Amino acid sequence: MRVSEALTPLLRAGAALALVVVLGCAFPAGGTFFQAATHLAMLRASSVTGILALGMTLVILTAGIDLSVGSVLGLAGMMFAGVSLQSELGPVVALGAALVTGAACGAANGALAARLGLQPFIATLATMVAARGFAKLAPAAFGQSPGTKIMPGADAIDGTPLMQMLAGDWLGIPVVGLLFALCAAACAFALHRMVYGRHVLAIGGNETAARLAGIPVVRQKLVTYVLCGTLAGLAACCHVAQSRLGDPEAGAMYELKAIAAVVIGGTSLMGGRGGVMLTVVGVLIIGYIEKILSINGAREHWRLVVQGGIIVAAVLLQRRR
Amino acid sequence: MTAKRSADVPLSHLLAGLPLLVACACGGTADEPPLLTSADGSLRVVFRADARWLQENGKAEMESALARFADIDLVYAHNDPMARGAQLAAEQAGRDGIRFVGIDALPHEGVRYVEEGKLDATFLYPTCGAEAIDVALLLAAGVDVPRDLVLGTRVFTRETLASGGRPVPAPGDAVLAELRTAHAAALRGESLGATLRVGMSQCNSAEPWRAQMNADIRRRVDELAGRVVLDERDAQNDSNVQREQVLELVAAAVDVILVSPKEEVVIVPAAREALANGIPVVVLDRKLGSGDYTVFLGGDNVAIGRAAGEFVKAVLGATGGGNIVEIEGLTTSSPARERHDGFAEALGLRAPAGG
Repeated sequence: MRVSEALTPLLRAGAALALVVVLGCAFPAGGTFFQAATHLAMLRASSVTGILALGMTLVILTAGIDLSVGSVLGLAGMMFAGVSLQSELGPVVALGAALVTGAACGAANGALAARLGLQPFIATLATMVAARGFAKLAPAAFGQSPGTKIMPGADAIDGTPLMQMLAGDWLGIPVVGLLFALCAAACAFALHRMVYGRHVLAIGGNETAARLAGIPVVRQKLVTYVLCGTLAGLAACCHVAQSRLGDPEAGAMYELKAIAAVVIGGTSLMGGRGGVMLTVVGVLIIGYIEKILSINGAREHWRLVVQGGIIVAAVLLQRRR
Repeated sequence: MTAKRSADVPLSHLLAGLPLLVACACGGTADEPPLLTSADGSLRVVFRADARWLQENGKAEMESALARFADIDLVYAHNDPMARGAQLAAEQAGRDGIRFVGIDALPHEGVRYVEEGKLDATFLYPTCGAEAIDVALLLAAGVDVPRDLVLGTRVFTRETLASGGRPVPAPGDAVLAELRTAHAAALRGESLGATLRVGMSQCNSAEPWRAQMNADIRRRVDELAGRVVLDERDAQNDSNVQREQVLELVAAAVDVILVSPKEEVVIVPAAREALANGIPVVVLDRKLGSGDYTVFLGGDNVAIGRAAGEFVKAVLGATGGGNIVEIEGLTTSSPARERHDGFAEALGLRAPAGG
């Protein structure tokens, strides 16, 4: 038995992360990699897609996929920005609007994929397109022309206190990073300590067997898509908080980043095998690679080549299992 | 067993290959600042990054620049959202005293950021929307309009905000001003026999700058109080759709066609068809791949980059020079290349000897 086969998936993912960190040490960009600020900025930049990747992990574990998370982030972000910046309804309503929007999109995905039995790829592709359309339409709900960005009102260019809190630090650590950690812990608990998690793994492993064993397959899948959508809603609030405006184009291609993080972490796209902590490691691997390229001022063409390399590596890692 | 082992080979290759890729990507530029300097070495571009026109990427790249360089005096970003992203990164890192310069100067975006003290300057990339309607009126009145009208930029700083920005004129501005004085009546629509029917095909209305162009066109049409009727179409970033739209406008027999092309070549046959039917074609922003148009109206990204460079030279020259971070638009797009080229030309930037 080879050493790599003896390692648990988490150790293997951790080894890949260590390798990437070693790369950072080899290319520290004049010592920049050894500064705390570099690592905190990496965490801040990765956490939004990280939160998306957590929900994606649950969906992929059921042998599904959610292509809509990027568009849902865009739509929920427009709701958050609109209520925060263009209404008097206050931060709780804004947060609620974003989460409910995300959950509703998740429910739509769940209804199409679980109840109507559409291919998850097709079902969430439809939601992806429709949600982007609604994101562009959303400004009309706040008295602007469709497709425009929602900007802060007069004397509020720095956003609302809630936005500043979400974009700020707590005890020196980015709040969005803490939220990512909190969500990861909650997802890990749900997956490994609750009946729901056992059901998810069973459905992803063998859906027919799970159904025959009396597991409420449709309901649990629905719950999973709703969770994924809700997490996209939360990520949307963090994203808007960081840019201080609502952009209907926000989150484009984020679904691919989230899926890449899940796969690189080591969760199987076939479903049934993998975990939340693996995804956390996957998010950090991608975050560090991007950061190392960025501090070294690597040009765009090299970045694309490296991103391509990462995808190939991830696919080959998948094939082995 | 052997088959399984052999499947392991590509993986181990890849685990070695990925670091190699990263090494190649980082190796060329590591520890070699500054990237570009002025002839006397006082102005240095220490960090350049492609942020693909996006605010969030501008912020992420600026975070890297801030962590790497303790001494940054100015950020030149190829558009206002990226400049704002960089400014947010500096604010977050608690770094004061950095100046931020952007481009585009949309009223609700760049100009607003200057007004609120987030950016130090932004340079107008003219939409030419109002000018396009003026040209349509002139053409309808039978005035001989020069074929290529390149308009200048305006510098918005806190000092020049109230006056609508300090103009940096281009040749087209003088020509247009002359025509406006000579044909004031035509531009009020007084010489029109019937209402002037103007058809417009916009390559896409989603981009904020293009939405602004549409707004500028509409505002000018509204000023003319019914003398001009506008038939607006959005090609939604599809050249073939745009070609069909232009042909539809020809079929509808509008008096003038305005088109802001998605691509150079695809709509040429449609433009030719319009001209053959005696309908003038006014091309906005992007040129056609051929001479099949009546008037071209657009800005000049090299000149805008140059104007930004002159501004930066004046600002940093006053304090004996400084370190510059350049946040670029998508480097494969011509606006990003031209905005860099003009800037580098004004500052006399070149790669340092041996670098």
